[in-house]
Order: sequence, then structure tokens, then C-alpha cells
Amino acid sequence: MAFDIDKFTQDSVRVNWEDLDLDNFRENPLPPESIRTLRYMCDVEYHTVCYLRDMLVTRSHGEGEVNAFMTMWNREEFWHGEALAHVLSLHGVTVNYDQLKDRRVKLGWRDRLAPVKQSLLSNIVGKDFVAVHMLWGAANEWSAAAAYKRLGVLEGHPSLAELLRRIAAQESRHVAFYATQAKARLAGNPKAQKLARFALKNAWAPVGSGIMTDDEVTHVMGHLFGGAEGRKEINAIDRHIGRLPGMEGLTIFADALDARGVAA
Amino acid sequence: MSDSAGFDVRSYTRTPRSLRRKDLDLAALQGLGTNTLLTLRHLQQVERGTLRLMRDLLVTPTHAESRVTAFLTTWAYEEYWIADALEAVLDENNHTEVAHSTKLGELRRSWDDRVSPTADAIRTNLLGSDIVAGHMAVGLLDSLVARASYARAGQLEPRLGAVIDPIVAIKDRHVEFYVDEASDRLAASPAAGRLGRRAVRTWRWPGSRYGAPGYVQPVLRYLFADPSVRADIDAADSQVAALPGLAGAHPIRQALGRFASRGARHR
Repeated sequence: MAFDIDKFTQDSVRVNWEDLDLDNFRENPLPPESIRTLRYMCDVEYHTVCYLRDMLVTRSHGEGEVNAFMTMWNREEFWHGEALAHVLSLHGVTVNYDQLKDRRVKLGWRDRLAPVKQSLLSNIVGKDFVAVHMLWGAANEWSAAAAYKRLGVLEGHPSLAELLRRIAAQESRHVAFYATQAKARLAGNPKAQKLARFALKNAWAPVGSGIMTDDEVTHVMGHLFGGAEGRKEINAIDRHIGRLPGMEGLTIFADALDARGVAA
Repeated sequence: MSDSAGFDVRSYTRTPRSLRRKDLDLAALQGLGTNTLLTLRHLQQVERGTLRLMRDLLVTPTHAESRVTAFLTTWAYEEYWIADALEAVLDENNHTEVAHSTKLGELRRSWDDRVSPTADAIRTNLLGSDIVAGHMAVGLLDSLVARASYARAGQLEPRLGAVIDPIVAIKDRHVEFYVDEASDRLAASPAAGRLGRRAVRTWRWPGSRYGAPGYVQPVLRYLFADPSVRADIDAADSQVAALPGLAGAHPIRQALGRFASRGARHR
């Protein structure tokens, strides 16, 4: 699958919700467990700029195509945060710049030193580290797309489902970029494959793990991916990853659910 | 999302301006002079360096400032399309030459890419959020000289108007943001003021760190050597001097003076 970066940048728009009838949430609000999940998603989307930072200190940036992607990706994710913040605001949940700042400040030294760790690892490992980043990005975007689709199905609210469908469509284009990059960088490179496999197996955790509490991660995993239908989605993501060079047989998503006691 | 008073970041993020090739009459921009093309290339390369600048801010406590990162996210998007439009104009003129880094520039780049982010992350996080004041002052200086460069390039080659005018309008908003942020943050504490003044003192002309002076100098001479431009430069400097604790500063004139004296030495 080729990825057309020119088309991606040309078509990149902020997600739109002005045409959707979301105001009826005032009469028919979402249940608390969905609000909790939306809040998680919103915070993770706004946190993208910090992920961008962690990628920019490695050799993942510098190439025209990667830089172009990151510029658009970062903005699209920011707007996912804005869209979800709007839905939350209709439920009386306010997300503003001050709160986001407080959350980032509270993450403390682990967050502040994240770029240091990334930069050192990248300098030590060299170019193969980029393959890990791309694979990691693909895994996160696959799960994001699946999560939005699942929430749309679970809630069955037509306007919300449409908004989540639009967001998921953008996440799917991000998947295409990361997966194409990962595939190209892993193919024929056993060292990169070994490194990437090791990183996914030992260091990967569901997106949001570093910034949200464990309870929140478990809630979201259980809410979206608990039960047989949820597990089907998760297994599909594992299969996508397993098809990338050197990743056969990895089941990181299913393992993460099992570790958190989320029943299939 | 709510926003505090001053520059309306929220409204800015909602109304980015993206210059698209398809909206430009490129055929009308064929046959531009060498000085114009060298200037556009210099500006295009500066705009392409946006993510590198963003990285240097994001590894510091500035990354926690969600108001600033919302701005940067939109700013990077606008800069991307400015660079793309300039590239289209350069392509139309078959101008493929780019400013290559010197050996020293390569060393600096590799240092900036591989060592600085780590060192800065540690140093600035120890200094704390006062560091943001310096970043905002530098952002202002970069935007002011970009604005002045585009405006002057448009004066010297009126055919560029259709490309330059929207860019100047984009830069106006960037200047407005940085003035607002820098004013608040420089006044926030004595340490912020000190770090801000140091940032202004050590500020470098954008796009002059890696390439040979031979690339940037002719561009600056072309744009700013004429005495009639002095008033515009002074006006830009006065926006910096109006910031808390920076009265009397004229960093842009000083930087141009350094280029001029270096140019005289090389001749």
C-alpha cells in the first residue's frame, strides 16, 4: 500500500461538527461511562503535541515526507481534541487550556525527561529506531480508529456516530502512513525487526497509559473492548500488526486486555 | 475551549490561512530576478525549518503551555503552506539551488539535532516555566524579521504581491500572538525578565546557523541595505523595545550590522 503524502497534505482538514445535531445531548445525555471514555480520548488527542515532541528529538524527523505528515497529523489530532471537548462541554464537562496545562505539569519529571530518553535511545540505536516509532504509531492509530468505531456502535447516537466516524476516518489515514513507513523500514532489516518486536513486546502499553491513571486505562479498555465483539476488534488489530515484517504471532493488544482482566 | 483575554488563540486556531498553489497565478511569476529568487529560497528554507524550531520549544517547559502549543500547532500548519507556495514559485522559475550547509553548519546541525534537545530538556526544565518568556521573545523576533523580509521583497518585486500580501497578513497575526505572550511572561518574574533579555541578546537571524554567510548576506543586502528601509527596521525593533525590561533594545538593527561588517571583511 503506497501512501500519497501530497494528497494527504492537500486533503488534511480539521474535523468538522458544526453541521451535526449534537445539541440534543442536552436532553438525551450520554451515560457516565461514555463521558469517562470520551474524556480519556479527548486528553489523549490533546497530548499529541507531546508525542510529536518525542518523535522530533529522534531521527524520525528530518525527511520532507515525515515532516509534512507530522505537521498535518498533529493538527488533525488537536482538532479531534477540540471536537470531543465540544461534546463534553454539552455535558457540563469543561476542558480548557489551563486544565490541559495543569495535567501536563502534573506529569512531572517522567514527562519532562521523555524527550531525553527518546533522544538518547535514538542516538544509541541509530536509524533502526525510526522503524520502532513508525510501528508504534501504527499500533496506536489502529487502536484509536477501532476505539472511535466501537464507541459509535455502543452509543448508537446518530450525530455522535457520524462525528466519531469522521475522526476514525482520519485516524485510518494516519494508520496508512505509519504502516507504510513501518513496513518499508522493517522489510529486509532483521535488526530493526528484532528491535521493534522487543520494544512492542516489552515496552508497549495502550495509548494514553503514560498520561492517564491505570484505573482510567482499564475503564476504557473494558468499556470499548470488553465482550466478544470488542475482542473481535482487538484481534483484528493484532492481526494487522502480525502481518508486518517480523511481527508474526504478536498479540500485544489481546495480552494488554488479558493483563487488565478484561473478559472476552 | 475557553481562553484568557488578549490574543484570541481559540479564534486563531479556527481560522488558519493556508496558501495553496492552485490559487496562485504562477505563470505571471515567471522570469523573476536572481535576487528575488535567492530571497524566496532563503525564506522558503526558513519556513521549512518550522518543525525543528517547534522541537526546540517542546522539549522545554513550554510544552506544558497548552495555549502556546495550540498556537504552535496552527502556526506550523500555516508555515507549511507558505513554504509550499514559495516552492511553487521557485519551481516555476526553475530555481532549484538550495543553500547547503557548510562543514561547520553540518556539525552545528548534528549537535542541534542530537545533543541540544537532550541538554536543553534538562537545563530548561531545571529553570522552570520562566524560560517560556525567552521563547516568546525569540518567536517575536523571528516573526518580525520574516514579516519585514516578505514586505520588503514585495516592495522590490511588485509582481509578488499575490503571494506576499497574504503571507504578511499571516505574519501579522504571529507577531500579535508573540507580543501578547512575551509581554505577559517577561513581566511575570525577575527570572523570566532575565531569561528573556538573554534570549534577545543571543538571538540569531533565522536561517543563518547552518549555511555559509555567502548565502544569507546577499539576501539581506538586497532586502535591507537601502537607507530607506531603516525606518521599517526601527519600527520592528521598537516592538521588541516596548516589551517589559527591553527598553532601548534594537536586536534586529544590531544583527543586520553584524552581517554588514562581516560582509565588508569578506570583500
